[in-house]
Amino acid sequence: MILYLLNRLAHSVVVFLGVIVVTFLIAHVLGDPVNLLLPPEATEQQRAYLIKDLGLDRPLHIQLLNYMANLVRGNFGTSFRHNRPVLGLLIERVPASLELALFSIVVSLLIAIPLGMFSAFKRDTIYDRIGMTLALFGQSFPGFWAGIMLILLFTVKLKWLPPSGRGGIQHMILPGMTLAMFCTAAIARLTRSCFLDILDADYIRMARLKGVPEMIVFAKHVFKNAFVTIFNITAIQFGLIFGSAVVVEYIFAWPGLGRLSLEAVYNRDYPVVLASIVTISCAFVLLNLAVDVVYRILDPRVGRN
Amino acid sequence: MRSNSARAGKVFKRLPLTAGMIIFMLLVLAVSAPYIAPHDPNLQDLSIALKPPFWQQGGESGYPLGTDSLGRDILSRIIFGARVSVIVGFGGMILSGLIGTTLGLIAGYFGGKIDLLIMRFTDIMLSMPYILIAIAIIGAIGPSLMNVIFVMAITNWVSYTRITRYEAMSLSKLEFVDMAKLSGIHPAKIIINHFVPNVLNSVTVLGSLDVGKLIVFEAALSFLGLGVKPPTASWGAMLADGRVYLTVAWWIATFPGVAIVLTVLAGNLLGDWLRDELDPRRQMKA
Repeated sequence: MILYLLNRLAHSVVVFLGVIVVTFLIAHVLGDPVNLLLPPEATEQQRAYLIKDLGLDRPLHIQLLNYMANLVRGNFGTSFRHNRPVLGLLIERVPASLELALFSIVVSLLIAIPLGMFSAFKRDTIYDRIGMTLALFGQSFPGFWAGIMLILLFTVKLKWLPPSGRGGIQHMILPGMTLAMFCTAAIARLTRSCFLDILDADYIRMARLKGVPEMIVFAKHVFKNAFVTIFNITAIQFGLIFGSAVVVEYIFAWPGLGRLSLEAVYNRDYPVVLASIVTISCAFVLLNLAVDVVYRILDPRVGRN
Repeated sequence: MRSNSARAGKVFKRLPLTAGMIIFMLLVLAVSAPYIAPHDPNLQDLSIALKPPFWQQGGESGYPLGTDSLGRDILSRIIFGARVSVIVGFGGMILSGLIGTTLGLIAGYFGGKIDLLIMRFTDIMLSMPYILIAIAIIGAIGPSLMNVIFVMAITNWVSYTRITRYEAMSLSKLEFVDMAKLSGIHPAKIIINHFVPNVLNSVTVLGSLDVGKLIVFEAALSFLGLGVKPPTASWGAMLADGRVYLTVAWWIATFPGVAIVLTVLAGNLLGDWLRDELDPRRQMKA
């Protein structure tokens, strides 16, 4: 187990370093900060000074090492646009994104798991069909359109909820529902097929044949096995929500990481774009690491091969 | 694996009806847009701006789905938007498929360090937020149809690499591949002659699922103003226009959205059905 943990950790570190290198290279190809920072009428001398100041006169690999060394120290550079350290901006914005992602995932789980289980137990009945058709539609609504339609309904027509901004729970409902729509559908469908698989499995039949009471069959065998799968998809969906909230945060003017990075793209504020990509990737890597480790602990079969 | 591939070939003959019809419609719209669109999609006429759809008060049957803020016909723009969607969907799929398949076959054929390197690279790509990367790149190189396809190729190749690498690995363990290697045939030739035909089926399946995904991707980029250049009609860009006029003209954002949802729905139906068809457990029961 310890060997596995070390191995898995090493893999995560390699991937994360790789992410930094790739991000750095993308940024290097994309933008020349000197032209962005200086007015067009700047003299050659000013340009040379800035190039030296930013360390752009050094070889690429030295710049990369510098960048990494700064990251380790929590120095993400300075935002061109806001003229302040990027780290401060991140600390301001990340909680808003996390809050929204957590809210959406909780809402999704509350709807998706009962729905998926109900569909599985009522397999091939009209309830199952209706539930799964709803889920299919939910999965087919792209966030940016669903968000607009929700605003149209709840803000423009019904005037119940504010269309944008961050404040109380009423601000969270619309963006939260938009984000939750896709993953509710995904989790519900997976829950259903996972329960179907388990109910079909030989060990469940065996338990029933042995005369184990239904309650115990469910508690000990069905739920325990389903939990692993549902945990896995939930973690993946959480990562997806956190990483793909750009559009939804934009529509609802939610002051999170997604909106920060989108504005940074519009303003060519590369330090912020880079830092956002690195932060989100870091979250992905950590999440995957956690999922793999938990998976390994919960499901002893995984380790054997 | 062979039986799997053979099945993949057959399944296209029994395409699910709804999905098939939607995809057929999309292709027809894209190909024949200039002949069936009632108006020029970019013709502006402020005197007829913001006309509602025909069944509402003030609507006209000449503009069945209404007009936008510049007086352009929504229906015609949706029909022409199908063109952009199809070009981008298929273009992005083909380009990313080519890149991904090439890398996957190389990794699977050579194995060892090359394989390790390529697979680590896929791990890295998978941990990065692809939407944000696409947005950042387009933000720097500017929005255009070609650039959209280009970022799709950069961000979407990974799944092709994973699937073809796996198949290439099992192929390279077969005897005839060893024979070919021993007889000194150039690796590129072995890959093209023996590997490509064998992975073609799974790549086609993956590709058919990708088109819908990429169409939404383009819509999202255009929605953010980072897709195709205006005034080219694109469903995502129409949504962005409509969002501004949401309080006075609901139809501008609604109809292009319906087109997107139908396309994604077709993609999802196709995906479900392919998964069922290719599921070996189901085959055993049948």
